[in-house]
Formats: sequence, structure tokens, C-alpha cells
Amino acid sequence: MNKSWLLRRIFSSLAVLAAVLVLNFLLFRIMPGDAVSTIIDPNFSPEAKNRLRALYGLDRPLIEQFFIYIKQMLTFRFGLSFLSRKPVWDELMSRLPGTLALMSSSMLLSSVIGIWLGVKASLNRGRWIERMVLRAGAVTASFPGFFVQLVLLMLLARTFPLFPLRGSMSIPQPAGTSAIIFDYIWHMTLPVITLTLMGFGGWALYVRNLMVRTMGEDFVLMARARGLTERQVVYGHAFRTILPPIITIMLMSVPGLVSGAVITESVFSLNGVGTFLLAAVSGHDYPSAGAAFYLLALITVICNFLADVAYGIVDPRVRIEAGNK
Amino acid sequence: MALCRRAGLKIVLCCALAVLCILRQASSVSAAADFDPNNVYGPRIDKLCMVIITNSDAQIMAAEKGELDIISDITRPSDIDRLSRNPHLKMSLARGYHAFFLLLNNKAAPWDNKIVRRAAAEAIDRNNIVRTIFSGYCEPINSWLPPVSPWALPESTRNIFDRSEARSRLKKLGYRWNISGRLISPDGKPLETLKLLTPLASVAPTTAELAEQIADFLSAVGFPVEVEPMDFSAMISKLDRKDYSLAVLAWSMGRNPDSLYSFYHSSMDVAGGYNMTGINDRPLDAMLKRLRFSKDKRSAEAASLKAQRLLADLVPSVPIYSRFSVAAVSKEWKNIFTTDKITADNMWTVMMAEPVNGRMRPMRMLLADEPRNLNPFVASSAYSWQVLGFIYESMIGTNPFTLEDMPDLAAAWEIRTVGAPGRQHTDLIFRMKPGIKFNDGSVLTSYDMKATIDFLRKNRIPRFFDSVKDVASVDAFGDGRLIVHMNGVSYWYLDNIGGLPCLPRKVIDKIKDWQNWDPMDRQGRMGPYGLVGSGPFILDEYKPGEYLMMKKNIYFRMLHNSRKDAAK
Repeated sequence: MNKSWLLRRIFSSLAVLAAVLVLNFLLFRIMPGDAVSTIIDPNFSPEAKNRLRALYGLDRPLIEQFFIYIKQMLTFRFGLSFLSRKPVWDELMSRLPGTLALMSSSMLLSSVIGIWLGVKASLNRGRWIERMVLRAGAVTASFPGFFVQLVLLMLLARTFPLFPLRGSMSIPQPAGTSAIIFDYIWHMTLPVITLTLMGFGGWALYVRNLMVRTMGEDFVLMARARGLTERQVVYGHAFRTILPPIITIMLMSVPGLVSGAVITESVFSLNGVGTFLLAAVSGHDYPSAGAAFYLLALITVICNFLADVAYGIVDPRVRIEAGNK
Repeated sequence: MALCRRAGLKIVLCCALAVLCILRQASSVSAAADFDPNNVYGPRIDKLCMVIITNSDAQIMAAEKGELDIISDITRPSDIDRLSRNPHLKMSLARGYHAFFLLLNNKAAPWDNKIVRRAAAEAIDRNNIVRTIFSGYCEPINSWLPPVSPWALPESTRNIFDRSEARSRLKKLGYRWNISGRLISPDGKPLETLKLLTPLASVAPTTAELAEQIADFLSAVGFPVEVEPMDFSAMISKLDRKDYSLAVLAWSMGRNPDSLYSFYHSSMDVAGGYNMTGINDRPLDAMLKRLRFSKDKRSAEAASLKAQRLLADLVPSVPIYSRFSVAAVSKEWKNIFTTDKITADNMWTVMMAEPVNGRMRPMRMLLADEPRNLNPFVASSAYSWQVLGFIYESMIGTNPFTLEDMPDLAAAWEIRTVGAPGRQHTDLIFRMKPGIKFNDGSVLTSYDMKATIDFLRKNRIPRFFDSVKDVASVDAFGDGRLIVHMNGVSYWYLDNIGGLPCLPRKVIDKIKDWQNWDPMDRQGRMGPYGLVGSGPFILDEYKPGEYLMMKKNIYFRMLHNSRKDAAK
């Protein structure tokens, strides 16, 4: 991992960002209609629509709009949302904590459970554990998310009211910090459970397949021949070799933590980034959609870069190859 | 065939009976017959909690579980049936302003002929659509205004389905049918496939299903119709350019008929205009103009009737159905108010409701989406105005029984046509009710209303642009009079001006930037903090994405009336 490699990666990342910026601008403008054209209200005349268009800056030449947009993106001052007329940055930041809490906890749980089950399944080939993991993984990974969530909502919030039906806090909000925290956890439990349920299967299947292949490698046989314990063989040797792809997947999931889960947020009435993004795209809210996608691209590029760096840390072969180059 | 029709008729009757049952249930919820909207006292509840639940399934579950006291705009028949069976809920049903149309491109063949358009209208069995798709929870319409409107034609729900008549009309025009039943135009060429544009099934599943049914009905008389689902924005863009043959579209209409001008006058056949059918007919234009610029109610009524008759003759679009408004209310509350024109989720209910067991608690009402913005100048969503409607009032309200104008902030009004012939204009004279206060305790006067109108005019605020664009000047007087001088003559100016929300002059004067003004900003960077209106409630607490808590406005005029009444 030398300096020139680092520079190359930085430049390629910047090129990707530049392409995203241009596409982000063009794609939304190529889409038919704009934020005003879908208004169908006889009390809103074409003249009033044009006035609104002027307020949004959509009457300006495209090139002028482009430079304004670039300036906004580079300075992180994303302007006002067309739909709410509030600063896009404020809108995003007000939703981000909730989305991060939901997505990171469910990702952590699903990956930990999935990896553990995947390893267990690979070590118990042909037994009931493996069969269970394979079937459960296939079922949970392939079931439509909204269906699972609605069924769980109906079952655990309505029929057996263990969890609340909506939102992230009770009405009225309880007094005291610990009560608020407990209330929040209680509200987020069901959404996190459903996301975990739908996410762990993919991890389990993936890790199980990687481990099965790795456990058949010569170096595992060698480790066993050296008299190492099974735990050392599995976790010290075999599992360590499958870490790079796992780290890559984890880091590439980070943008997903920020973009949120549209369906989950909608089903559980959570005020998150996912539903904000959906409303922005469907409502032609260029400032909001542009800013959100730009930030996501930025996070993706950074995570991609970090994944490359992490490869070098966990896999000595990458360091050697980079050093040789 | 006759048997099928008879069976169909029976099913429609059953559906109608079911709906009537709900109506009867609804009427049992209604307030007493001696209800006088001018003399109501309230609000009797201390707090109104507007709970934000965006998912429709979760909304229904919350109502069933008792987490919501009022749930409105229930559209799915299965949900209506489900809630009707719940012993803790009362249903309320009313005719709505929603109307669904089949749009025909009047500029392109074969729809450039009114006989062909009428044949298409007669080919569609609306009763069947209402029965199969909506289980009877909407009404078939044959009117360009929703039947609930006091201005709609009396025969607005008449069934005009007659397939043989449709075929005979086409035959008289010279159309023939080939061996596969496809229409051959009078010039001898078979009709080309006609695309019926519809929003995507993933976005609007019912509309997509409806489009398929309409295509089948039209195909049954020989029109080769094919459904083409597409993104809604793309569809609107095509309609705007008249780059289509057929399309399905629904919109909410007001109670007044002047909207017909926007939809069918040739001057509205411009980019961004609402004349999406492209109809261009001189007599219709003249009548719509007469309607729009009527001096008084009587001439407006005459013009409205004639314009609707002309539309019935020209059939620029085909009205299909109007959806009922359905709401459910918890039986834990009494004095729930509803009529055949408004469902229980109305201002009167919230004003008069009291808990049956006498133990006061916040009333929980559904808010189906985030209000996003509570700045009254830029708030455009129905959800924002569901909240703001409890805070701000206007000079004229709507009578819940007749949907006619009734006094709100104004005790009385008058419309005068003044000026020399050829240079006449309308003067609106309002007399404000005395003693009204804003929720901060300050007195509301005609000067506040003048300041509001002037502010809207000066800033050309898009949402209110059409309402105030013809205002020439406004005069306010110390005796509570407000005179609004208009530039032209129109009876509808009354509703345009009378429906504007009233803000205090002292607030308006302090607004630095109306676009960026956030009334929830405690630092008051772009304008003063808080929503100061004269309505029955004050916004007490707002947790974005969760709920809005409103509390009783202790200065509300009807609350004071109640005290007087109680003293008597």
C-alpha cells in the first residue's frame, strides 16, 4: 500500500464522485415533469404554477441551475427542499439519528447472528443444524419484507400487544431520561427484529459457503496436523481468511445505514431518511434528492476506499502484492 | 344477457343497501337535529392529539386497538368492512369531492367527434365498476361536478350505460366492425390501437385495475384499447402535450362550479393548464366565461347549469365515479357530528366531542402523513392544512348541511357590482364579528385581514396567487368593515377572498422572509415564533414524525359564547 497506489485510489474516487454529481443533476432533469407539473388543482392556475417554478429557480437556464447545484454540493449547503421549504441539511439531519439507530442495530444483530450461524452450519455439515440454517436462511432472505413486517406488526402489536404499533415514542413522551430511553428501545424493538430476521439469512448462507470452501483448504489440514485446537483452526485460521469479503460487505452496507429502509420506516411509521428519499424522488424535489444521493455516493466512495485499506490490514497477501507493485 | 343484467342490478342494490346501512349508522352518530352551526360552543376537549401514522394497515390496526379516536379517508372496501364490524367504532360516510374521469384527447381521432365520445361514455358500465372494484363504496357519476356539490346536475348519478345504443351511434356515423369486432372508421381503415394511459399498478393499484376494466368495456363495442401503465409524472407530461389518446385521472374538486372553467375552457389549453382533453368549443367557452364572471349567485347558477348541459352534450371527458368519504370514530366519545355531506372527522366534531365516561383525555385523530411545513404561506399539503385549519380561520365558512357559505370571522357580507357600464368591478363588503381574539389574546380586527390580503398580494405567494390576483385595493375601517375592491366582476371573488386565512398584522409586519419563515423556530430568524390564529386550537407540541399536540385556545370566540350560555 504505497503512496502512488493511495493517490490513484483517491483520484479514481474523485472521478466517481464527479460522475455522480453530473448524473445526479442530469437524471432528475431528464425525468418527465417537475415538482410543479404534477399539481392538479383548479385553484392553482398555470400562472401560479409559473410563479412557483420561478421561486424554485426552475425558470433559470439549465447551465445556471447546474452551477448553482455544483456550488451547493461542494459547500454542503444544499438549499431548500421544494416540498417542505426547509433547509435540506436540517431535514436530513433531523431524520438521520433515528435511521442510524434502526439500521446499525439491525445490521449488527443480523451480521453477528448470521456469521455465527454460518460458521456453526459449516462445522456441522449434513446435520440438523446445517439443514435448519440453510432452510431458515433461504426463507428469511427470500420473503418479501413488507409482508413479514406487516404480519409481525399484526401479531406482536395488535393481536398480542407486546410492542407499540407506530413511531419511536409514546404519546405523551414519558418523563425522565431512563424512561425515554426505555420507551425508545421498546418502540424500536419490533422494527429491529424484523430487519434482523430478514437480514441474518443472507449472512448465514454466505458465511457458511465461504467456510465450507475454506475448511477444505490445505492450510486448514496443516493447522490440524500441527495439533492446534479446533477453535484455533476454525477462528484463528479458517475464519480469518474469509474476513476480507465479510469486511467488504460490511463496509459496503454502510451507505444503507444512512439511506434507511423505506418499507420498514413506512410500516412502522418511523420518521427516517428512507421515506424522505422516496418522497423527494417521487415529488421531483431536486435539492433533497440531489443532496441525499450525493451524500450516499460520498459515503459509498469513502467506504470503498476504507474497504481497500482494511483488506491490507487483515490480509497480509494484499500488503505484499501492493508492496511488490 | 338480460339475466346477467338482472343479477348485476340485484348486486348493485345489495351494495347500495350495505352503504345505506352504514349511512344509517352514521346518522345515529350525528348531532341533534336542532344543531345550529352558528351557535356551537366549544372546544370542549382540552387537547387534540394528531397522531402521525403513515402506513394504511397500521392506521387500521391503531383504530381497532383504540389508539386512534378518529380515523378518516378510509378508502379500501376491506378496511371499511373490517372497521364496521368493530364494536368500539362508529362509521361515518359522506359523499365526497373526489371524481374520477376517463380523459379523451379531443384533438385526435377518433375522439375529435362528440358522437364517438358519447358512444364511449355509453359503453362503460359504471355500476359494474363500482360493484366489482369498490364493493359499492363509491357512486357512479355522469356529471362534471361531484354529486355532493350543490351545483351539480340533478341527474349527476344517472346510469347511461347502454352498449347497443353506443354501437348504434357509431353505426350511424359510418363505423363498421371487422370480423374480430374491431371498429373500422368511415374512411374504411380499421382503427389503430388506442393506448389508455394509467399510473403504475405499484403506485395506484385500483386505478390500474379500473383502467383494465374500462379498456374491456370500450373493446366490447369495438374500440381497440390497450392499457399502457406509466410513471405518474410521465403521464401528466404526456397529457400536458396532448400526446395521448385515452387516460384515466382522478382529482378532488371544490364545491363550486367555477373549476369547470379551468378544466374545459379553451384558454386553459396551454402548457401547465388543466384543459387536458383539449376541448375547444365556442358556446362552451362563452358559457364557462359567463359562469366564471357571473355578477351574482342567480346568474352563476344559470350559467353553471347551462355549462354542465353543454358538457353533457360534448362529453370532453367521461365521468366514471366519485368516492365516498369514510371515517370511523371511537364510541368512547359523544356529540360526534356528521351529515350526508361531511364525515365525522370535521371541525364540529372536534369542537363538541366529550368523553362518554366524563373523564377528559386528549382526543386522538389520525394524521396520515408528516405535515412537513407549518408556514401557512408555503404549506401546500393536505396534512399541513389539516393542522393549520384548527389554528387559522377565514371570513367565510361552509355550512355542514348545505355546503353553502356561512359566517365565520365575518358576521355578514355583501357583493356589489359598481362602476360605469363597461368598466364595472366587484366590491366585497365584509363586516367582521366584534370581540374576536387571536390565540395570544390580542383583538382581531378588519385591519388584520387587510394586512393579510395585502401581504399575499405584495409577495405574489403562489398558493394564494389566484385568490388575490384580481384584488385592486383593500380598505379597512374601525367599525369592523372590510371592503375589497376587485379589478373585474365575478361572484366567485367572494369565496376566493372569504376563504383566506387571517393572520395578525403584528405577525405579518415582522416576517422577514415569507418563504423561509419557520413558525416553529424559537430563535425567530425569519419571522416571529408561533402560529397565531383565531381558531379553536393552539399548537402546543410538535414531535416530527410522531405527533402534534394541540391545546384549546382559551380566547376562542365560541368558547366564550358557551360561558355566556352557561351563565344564562
